[in-house]
Amino acid sequence: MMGIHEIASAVRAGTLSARALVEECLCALVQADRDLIAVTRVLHDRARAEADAVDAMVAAGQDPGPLAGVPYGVKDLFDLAGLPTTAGSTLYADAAPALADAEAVARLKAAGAVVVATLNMDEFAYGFATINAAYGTTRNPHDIARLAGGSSGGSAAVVAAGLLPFALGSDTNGSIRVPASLTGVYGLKPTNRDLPLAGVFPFAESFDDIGPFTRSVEDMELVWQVLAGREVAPTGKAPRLARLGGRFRENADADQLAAIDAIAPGAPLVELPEIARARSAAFLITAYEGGTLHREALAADAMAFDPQVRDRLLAGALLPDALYAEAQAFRAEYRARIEALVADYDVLLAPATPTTAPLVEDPRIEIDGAMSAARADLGIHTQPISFTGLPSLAVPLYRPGKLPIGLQLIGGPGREADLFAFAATLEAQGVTGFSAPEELVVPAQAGTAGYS
Amino acid sequence: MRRMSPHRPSPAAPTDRETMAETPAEAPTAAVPQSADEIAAAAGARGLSILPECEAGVSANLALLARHARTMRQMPTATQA
Repeated sequence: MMGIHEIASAVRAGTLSARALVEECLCALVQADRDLIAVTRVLHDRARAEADAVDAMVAAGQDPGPLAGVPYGVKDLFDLAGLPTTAGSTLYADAAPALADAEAVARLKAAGAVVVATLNMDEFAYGFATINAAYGTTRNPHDIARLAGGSSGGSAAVVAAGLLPFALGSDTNGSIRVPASLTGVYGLKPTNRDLPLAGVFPFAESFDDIGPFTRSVEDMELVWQVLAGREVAPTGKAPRLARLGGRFRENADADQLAAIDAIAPGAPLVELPEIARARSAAFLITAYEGGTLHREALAADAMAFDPQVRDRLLAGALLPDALYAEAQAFRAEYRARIEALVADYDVLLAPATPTTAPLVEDPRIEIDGAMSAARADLGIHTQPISFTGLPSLAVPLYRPGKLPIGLQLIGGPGREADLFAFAATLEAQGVTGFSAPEELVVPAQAGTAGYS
Repeated sequence: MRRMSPHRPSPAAPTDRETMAETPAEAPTAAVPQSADEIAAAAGARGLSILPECEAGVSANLALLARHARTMRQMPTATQA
């Protein structure tokens, strides 16, 4: 599958048919998903109609937009007009169809993109593993015996497998950055609440964000511009770098730490204060908001929930209101402190996940010398950053032939452009970058045919 | 038979949250329910019932949340005590 710029340029020039590309894409998704378990619905009719509309505009001499004919998928919590939004739960499989597209989907459509599928996730986005009792466990394209991470695991897997050039996910505590790291693609958690959340099924409201997965920095920046509705230029100056220390130097892969030290030799080692307190407060806020959100449904039919998600949500629903208020008060004070602390830097470097992808058969990881559930703890390095509200771009270390693992590039509020500029430099140097799975699950012809 | 799907839930109104945030004096006494009696009382107050199939999982998750509450409050956890 070609990249976004290549597809859009060819479609706008009339040398590639959006409809032909979508037909290939639909075929490849159906075929590959037997192994990946990443797709919950293939949107044949809608995809064909949108692609035909793009081709008609080109034929009429009109410009469909910067994403002309580019196919993409959405985590199954974005509203798509006429379809129920399941949030990965059978509870909502028969829900009333959405009356309109989510705002993010509407912006992508207006730019010419073509939505082709909804994608697997942990039920209600509560997990870092995409282990879903109803829709299955999404597999990692680099080794289908391993997890893809979560909760936006389906979105990451289809991009990493080369089935789609980009996909949308959501990130509350790391649900974009964790699967991006484990599958070796780029994933952006934007500045908190900067990208449109209208029409997105919530999880923990005060942390929820949406963002894209892509295979290149250039593609990431383009999709972000469409979603944000603006272009922001980087400062143009050499970025002031820092490495995050303390807990971010523990529970990390040796390759991650070596890469950080090589990227920023001599850069200050900045320790975010009280990082354990921050993660714990994030854990409590998430549990409370998630539990409160679903309390009515839990009271009505708790047994309809995915058992592991159900028990987490029930526990969250029982937390005292005052404990939540206490956690939010700490968060407000902490965010102000962190913004002041990092104001002297443009990019902070940290690991994205503590390890490479765990096995599906043994979904545990080692944290502080003890084994713990991957579903809960793969976000150990992302959750504290969500607590600060800062934007964070997960970038894959370039290491062909090895299991993927990524870093976080963390910036100041609203400074995504600085992250893209620095990530592009790292990509050009070969430090980071997408490595295709050794045994691509994409049929060989996909991405080569469809030119008219 | 098809299960009745619930309406999409809505997050609590911000005004409710602001009201809660104005009562920090409550915070130190806000303990995470852990014993069977505490869990039953908290569930009852919220209109929930904890079914037998859920008891072990809910209890384990509340124990984890209690550890996080202690960490946030800078109190020693069980393993540190």
